[in-house]
Amino acid sequence: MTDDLQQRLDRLATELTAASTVPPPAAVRRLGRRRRYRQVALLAVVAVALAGLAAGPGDGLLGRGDEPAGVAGPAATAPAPTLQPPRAARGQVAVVIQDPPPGFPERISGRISARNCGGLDTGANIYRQLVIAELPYRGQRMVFNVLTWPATKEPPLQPRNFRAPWVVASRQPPDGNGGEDRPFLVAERPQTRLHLDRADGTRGSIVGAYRVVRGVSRGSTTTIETVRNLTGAQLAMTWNCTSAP
Amino acid sequence: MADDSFERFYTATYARLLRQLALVTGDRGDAEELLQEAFGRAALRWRRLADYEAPEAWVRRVAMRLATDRARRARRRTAALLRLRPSPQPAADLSVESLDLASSMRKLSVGQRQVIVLHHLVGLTVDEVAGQLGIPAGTVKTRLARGRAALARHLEVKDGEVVGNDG
Repeated sequence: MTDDLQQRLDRLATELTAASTVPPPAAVRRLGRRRRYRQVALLAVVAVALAGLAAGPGDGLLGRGDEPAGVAGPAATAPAPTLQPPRAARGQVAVVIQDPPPGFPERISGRISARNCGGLDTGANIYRQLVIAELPYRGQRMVFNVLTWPATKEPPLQPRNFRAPWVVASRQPPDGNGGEDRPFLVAERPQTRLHLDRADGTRGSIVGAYRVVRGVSRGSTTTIETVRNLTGAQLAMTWNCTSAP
Repeated sequence: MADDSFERFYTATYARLLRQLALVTGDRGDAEELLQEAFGRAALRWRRLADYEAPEAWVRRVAMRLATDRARRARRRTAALLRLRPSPQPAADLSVESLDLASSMRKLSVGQRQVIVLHHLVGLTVDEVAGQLGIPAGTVKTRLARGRAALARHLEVKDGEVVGNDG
């Protein structure tokens, strides 16, 4: 009767799909590309949402000059970063994570895949840096996202040292499924430090204590939940985009 | 594989995978949507997937997971709505025998449908089904037994006749 079940399933499958046609492969490729763009956009939304949360009431994302003392939020208790940034070869990104949570590597490096890798000094102590890197790790994709909106120059004003940048690390399974509900590591202001080896932002590093959060998407809104608060563990990332990614 | 290998792979496997997905979802449109999503993801990673021993299994696994996710979301978010509207009926152009089976399949959980399709239609062993779905072999056996028992009840087939070996 198992054979009979197989035959009946076979027949049902044939009848269910009798009128189907195979869509052109190009359409499927387009679908995949659109999905990739959506994922990158979601990462950016989560990072901006995190930045907005940390800015606190009354603080805009831009137009904030000096870093206010005693900023509310978990970052206020973070230690000053002491972790030595790893070295990254040309076209590479390298990351070190102290006491990594499950699923995250202690050390990883690879070719940088970002379409954007550079910075922009907009004056008034405001600097923007964006680096997106995707590295394969144990069958998953590790996504490292440096986003500074804004970073302020350290006093006394050093041309290539900034504080209040952001680095977001996340992992995604090979199929990219459910990425928005997976944990992110976030190193955030005020103790996080950004150093530029080159003024145009194509080479630099970022170090800071991180916490573990989760961006949960419900409909069109994204909320942030803290999974693990600051423990003193730090995250350091170095990028070198001086050759074409 | 060469640059057009994805197109060849896609053309060769689409119809076969669609049949399997259609049995799991019970709806050709849903199956097409999930399968195209899975193939879209495969296209992005094709350089790596092309070296896999069975890229078709990868696409099937992704599509099955998408089917599970979709069923879960539907259950969570629109449970009330689904209760208020009549349950979707199988396509009208099915034969009487297939209509019975389609109705019976709809009464199973998506997990039970998946193991039944993979085991009985695709011909995978219990261990292979477990590997494909990323669940323990014991869970596969349980779902198979319960799914087949439910099918037997719905189809009014003797339990002993339908519930065969677990492969």
